[in-house]
Amino acid sequence: MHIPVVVAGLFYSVATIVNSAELSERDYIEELPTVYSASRLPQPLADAPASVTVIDREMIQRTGARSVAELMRLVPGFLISYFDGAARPYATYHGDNDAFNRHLQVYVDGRSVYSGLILGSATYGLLGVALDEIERIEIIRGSNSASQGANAYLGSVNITTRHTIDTVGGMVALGSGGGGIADGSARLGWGDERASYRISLDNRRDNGFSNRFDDSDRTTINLRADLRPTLRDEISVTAGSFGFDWGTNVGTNQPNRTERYRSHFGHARWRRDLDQGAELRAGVFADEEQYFAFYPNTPRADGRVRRIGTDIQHSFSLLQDFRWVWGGEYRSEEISSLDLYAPVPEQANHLLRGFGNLEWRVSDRWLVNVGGLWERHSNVGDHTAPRYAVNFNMTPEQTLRLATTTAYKVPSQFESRTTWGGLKATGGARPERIDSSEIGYLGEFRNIGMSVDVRGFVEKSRSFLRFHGTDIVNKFPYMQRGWETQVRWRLGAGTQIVANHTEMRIVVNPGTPVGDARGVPRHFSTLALFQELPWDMNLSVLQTLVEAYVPTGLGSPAYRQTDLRLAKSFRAGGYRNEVALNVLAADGSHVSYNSDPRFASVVDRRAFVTLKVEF
Amino acid sequence: MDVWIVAPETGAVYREVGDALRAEVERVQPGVVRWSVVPLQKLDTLTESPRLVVTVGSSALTAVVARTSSGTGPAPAILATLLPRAAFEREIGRAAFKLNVSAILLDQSPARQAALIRAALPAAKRIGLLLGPESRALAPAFRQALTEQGLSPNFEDVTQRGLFAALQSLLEDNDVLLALADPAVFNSETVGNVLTAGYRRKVPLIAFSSAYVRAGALLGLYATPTQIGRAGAESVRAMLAGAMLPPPAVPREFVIEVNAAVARSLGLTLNADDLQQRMRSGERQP
Repeated sequence: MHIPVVVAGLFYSVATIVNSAELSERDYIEELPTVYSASRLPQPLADAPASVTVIDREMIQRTGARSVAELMRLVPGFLISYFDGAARPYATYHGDNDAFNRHLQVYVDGRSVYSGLILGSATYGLLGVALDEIERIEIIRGSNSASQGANAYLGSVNITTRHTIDTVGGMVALGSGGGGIADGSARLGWGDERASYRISLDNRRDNGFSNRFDDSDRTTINLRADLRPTLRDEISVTAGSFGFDWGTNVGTNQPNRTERYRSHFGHARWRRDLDQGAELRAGVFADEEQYFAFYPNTPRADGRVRRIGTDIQHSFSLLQDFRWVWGGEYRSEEISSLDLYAPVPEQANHLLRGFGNLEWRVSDRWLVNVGGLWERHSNVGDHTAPRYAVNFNMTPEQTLRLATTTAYKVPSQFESRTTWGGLKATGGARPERIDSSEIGYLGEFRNIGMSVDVRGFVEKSRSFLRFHGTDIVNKFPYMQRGWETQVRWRLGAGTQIVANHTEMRIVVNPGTPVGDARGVPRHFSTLALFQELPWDMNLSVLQTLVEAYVPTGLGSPAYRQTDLRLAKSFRAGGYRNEVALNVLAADGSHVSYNSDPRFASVVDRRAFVTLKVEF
Repeated sequence: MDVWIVAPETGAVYREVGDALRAEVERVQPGVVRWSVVPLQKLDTLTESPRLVVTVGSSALTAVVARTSSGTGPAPAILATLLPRAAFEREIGRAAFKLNVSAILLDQSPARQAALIRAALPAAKRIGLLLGPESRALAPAFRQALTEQGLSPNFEDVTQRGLFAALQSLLEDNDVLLALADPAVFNSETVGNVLTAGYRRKVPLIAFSSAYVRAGALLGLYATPTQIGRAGAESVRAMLAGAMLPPPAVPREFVIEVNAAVARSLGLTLNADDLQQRMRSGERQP
C-alpha cells in the first residue's frame, strides 16, 4: 500500500515533536520547581515568637481609612492621637505620645521608612504609603530589635505591598466629601509570569479639623517591577516619591504656615531559592528626604537626609527540626542641615548589623526561638539585642508563649550632635534600652471561627533620652506593664467582629517626673463589626474608646469615636466597582488633644463618598 | 496472545506502568500472554503485528497509530495508557481507519474531585477554576459535579484577560482553586506565581499530580503508575476472555497526597489515608 507522504512525515517526525500547547501526560509528570517554603508560606500565628496582628487588604478597604495610621485602631496597644492636628496622626504603641513617633520601626517591603531627622519618626513614612498598594500589614506588638534592628523598640509595623502579578489591570478611585476631603488614585499593572509591572498614583487632601489650621495634601507615586529571570530567582524593583504639605500653627502669636516634606526612594531586592527549602535574599536601597519650612519662627529645623544601604539574609534548615536565619546589613546616613547642626551642617553616621535566629521544633508541641542582633553604630559603638521565646501548643487550637527580649533605640544624629536652639548635644547620648517580657496566649477555634490573642507584658525602660539643660542624656528609667487582647470572630452569614482591649500602667521611679505616669491611658479599646448585607452591600462600624491621659500639656480627655461605612459592590460593563459612604466620628465630635485650649484638636464629624473602579 | 508494550525510554514512570500491567496480568493468568516490551525508538524496525498493543504515553500512541495506518495486515487492538482524554481523542481522531481502541486515562472524574473538596475542606463553598484552550470543554461537567456536591463553581477563561488577571479575579472571591490540566494555564513557568498568589490570599490549590503537591499545592488526586498499570491489566484480561476492549476509563484506584507544610500554614490537619478511606467508601455506595 502506498504510504501517503503526510503520514510518512508524521511517522518520521513523531519522535521530535513536542507541542507544548497540546495537553499530554507531560503536564502530569513533568518536574516542577518547589515553590512552597517556610518564608513563602504564611507562618502559622501559633509559631510566631511574638504577638502579631495582621491587617489584610479586605479589612483595609472595609474600614475606609485614608492613612495607615488610622488602621492602627484595629491593633491592641496602639493609640492614635492628633496632637499636631489632623494632618499628622500619630499612631504609637504603648505610649510615646509626643510629636515624634520614634520608638516604632516601620518597614515597607523590608525597607525602613523611619525618618531620621531630629528625634526620628515613623509618622512620615506611614503617611507616605498608598493604601491601595498594601497587601497586608503585620504588626509585631512588642520589641523586635532582635530581628529588625534598633528603633523596633516598642514594636514594628511591616507593610507588604501587592505583588505586581496580583494587580494586572487598572484601577481608579475617587473620594470626596466634608472637611474638604478630595482624594484620587489610579493604578495600571501589566505583565506575565516572567515580568510584571505596576505604576500607581495617589493624592489625598483635606482641610483637617475645623478649629485648626491643619490641612493636608499628600501625593505618592510608586513604580514596581517583579521579574522572574529563572525558575529560582525573583527580582523586585520599586521606586517612588512622596510629597506632603501640611498646615500647622503652634502658638498664640504664630501665623498659620505650611510645612513640607519630600522623599524619594529606590529599592531592589533579589531572592533565590536554594536546594532543600533554603533561600538567599539580598537588597539595596537609596533614599532621600527633605523637610522645608519645618518649625520656622521657633528656630527652623530644615534638613535633608540621604541614606543608602544593603542587606543580605540566608535561611535554611540544618536538620529536620532546625531552621536558621542569619544575615547582615550596612547602612549609611548623611544629613545636611544648617538649622540643626551649625556650624557643621554636614553630618554622617553609619551602622553595621548582624542578626541570627534559630527556630527549633523540639517536639510536636514545643517550639523554641533563640535569636539576636548585634549592631555597631558609628556614633555610639556596639550593642546586642537578644530574644528568647518558647511556644507550647497546649492543645491543637491553643498555644502559650513566653518570650523575653532586649531592644535598643540608637540615638538619632540630632540627639548626638545637635546645636539647635539653645542645645549643645555633647555626644554622650547612649542607646535607649528596653527589656521586655511577655506571656502570650493564642486560641484559634476554627470550628467556631474565633481567634483570641492575649498578651501580658512587662516593659522596663532604662536610659530613656531626655533634654537635660542644654544636653540630651539618658535618664529616668521606668516600667510599664499591662495586658492587651484581640478577639476576631467570624460568625456565619458574613459577620466579622474584631475587638481589642488594652490595660496598662506606667510605674515611675523616684526622680521620674510624675507626669509620666499619666502619659498613657489606663485602658482603651476598639470594637469593630463588619457585616455583609443583601444586594452586595456591606457595613462597617468601628468604635474606639479611650480613657483620659496626659502625654504633655493639658492632655487628652476621655473620648469615644464611632466611624461608619456602608458600601455597595456592583459590576458594570465587566468591571468590578464599589461605591461607599463613610462617616467619621458619626456620634459627634470629640477632643483628641489639648495642647492649648485655643488649638485643641477637635475631631469633627465628617462624611465622604468614595468610588472605586477596577478593570 | 501476542501483546506489545510500547513506551518511550525516557522516564521511569513509563516503565513502571508497563511493568505493573504485565505483573498484574501474569499474577492472575500466568503464561497466557507473550509479551514484547518495545522501546518507542525501535518501533519502526519491527515488522510483525501483534493482537494487542499497549501504549504508554501520548507519543507512543501517536507512533503506533501512524504505524498501523501505514501498515499491512489486520490492525491490532490498541490500549492507550498514561495520557489525558484530550490527547487520546486527538490521536484517535487523526487515524484514518476504524480501530479497536481503549484507554486508561489520567483525568480524574469531576465527581471524584468534587467529593475530595467536600471531604477535605468542608468549609469551602466557592470553587475557582481556570480554563484554557485544552480544558474549557470540561467546564459543563465540572459545573454539574460541583453543584451536585453543594459547591458553587466559578470559571475564568485565561484567553480573555490573560492568566494573571483571571487568577486575581478567582482568588478574590473563591475559597479553593481546583486545577484542570492545561499547559496554557499550569506549567513549570506559571506554577510559581500561581502558588504564591494563592498563598498570599490563603486560597489553596487542589491539583492533578504528585508534582504539583511537591511544588506546593495543598492536595493532589491522581492514580499512580502502578495503579494505571493494574487498570490496564483488567482491560487486557477482558480481551483474553474473548471480549472487545472495555471503553476508555479512569482507573478505579487513586491516591490522595497532602502537602503537610502547606496544610499546616493554612491551619488544616489533613490525613491522606483518612481522606482516601472516606472517599473510597463514598464511591462504593450506590
